[in-house]
Amino acid sequence: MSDREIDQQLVERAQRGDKHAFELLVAKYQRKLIRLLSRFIRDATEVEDVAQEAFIKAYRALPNFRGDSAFYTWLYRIGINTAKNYLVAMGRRAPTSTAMDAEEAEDLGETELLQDLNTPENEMMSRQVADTVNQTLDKLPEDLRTAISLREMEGLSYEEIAAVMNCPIGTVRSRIFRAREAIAEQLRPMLGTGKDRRW
Amino acid sequence: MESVSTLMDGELNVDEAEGAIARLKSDTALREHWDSYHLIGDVMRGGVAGTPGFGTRFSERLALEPTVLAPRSRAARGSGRILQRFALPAVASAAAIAVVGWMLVGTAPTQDVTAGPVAVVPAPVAAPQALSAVKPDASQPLLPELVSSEPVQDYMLAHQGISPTTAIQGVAPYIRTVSSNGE
Repeated sequence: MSDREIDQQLVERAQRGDKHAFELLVAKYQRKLIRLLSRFIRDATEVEDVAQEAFIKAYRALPNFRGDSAFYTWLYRIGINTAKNYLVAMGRRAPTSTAMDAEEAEDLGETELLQDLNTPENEMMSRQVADTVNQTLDKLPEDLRTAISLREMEGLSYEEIAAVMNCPIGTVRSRIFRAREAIAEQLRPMLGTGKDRRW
Repeated sequence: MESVSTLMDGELNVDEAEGAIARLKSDTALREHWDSYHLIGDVMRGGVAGTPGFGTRFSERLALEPTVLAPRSRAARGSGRILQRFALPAVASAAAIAVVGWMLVGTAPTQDVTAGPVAVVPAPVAAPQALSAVKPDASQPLLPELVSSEPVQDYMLAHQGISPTTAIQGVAPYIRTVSSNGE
């Protein structure tokens, strides 16, 4: 089942009244949406407020989502409109429609964004998370590091990774999982558990 | 946990993915893995880690929202629509044809053998249905005189209800059998 089909599955469950399914989509796309909105709004608190509002609008509009486009394209469009409306309401000038659209948003360069977006506290926590991910990644055995890097950074399928690493697909699946678990294990003290500190 | 990792990479088949999603819905630990795996991926791709507590705050807002209920989406109906539009009507048509054919076959020999003699009988106006309800013995065709005689007409009229040419031919005897067994 492809990434888009997984989203579609989650959307359908949400459309049938399953709010948890929509929360899974939020967990998946919140950082991408925040990154997109930071193109329009520079203040971190405002960006989060608008992102939350955009997700709520998307949830309310779920009955209108027919699956003609990918969920993230639809979500990004809602996010852009929400940001523009917010800026207009605040008496600020919204970027022109040609400055950014949902398709362009998928190819955003990320590193230059949000440098000055976070509050000092959030920035510190975000930096800690990023450092922990990168440091743990560096310490991973080479086969695990290669597998997860080819997947997350190059976007290769398991079959392609198996061909590159000359190993069975099952081994690829296991290596990627073990790599994620090793990194997540280091992140857990930072992320907390339960509902109080979910990122 | 490995199924969550494989799910988010789009490498599970449909059944496995649906099972994994169903488990994600109910298992908090699995959902935390889903969250952290996506966070790791976003950070590795050079993105931001996001805002602490974003998910919690959103869940609180979402809890206040009325639950949406929507019809199934077009994409999801893909294979179902084909089934609905073509296969089901075809099966229904075939079933209807089979039933009609079965009924016709059940009555056809009766009419074939005796249609001629019976058709030419000037039947009394009061009992046309009785004539069509008769099932003559093919080896001894009924004489027109006998069929049109008053006692036979009365007999046939009285027994029209159990004639095999009724709409539930073949079923009525079965129903009687079941009823008697029940007693």
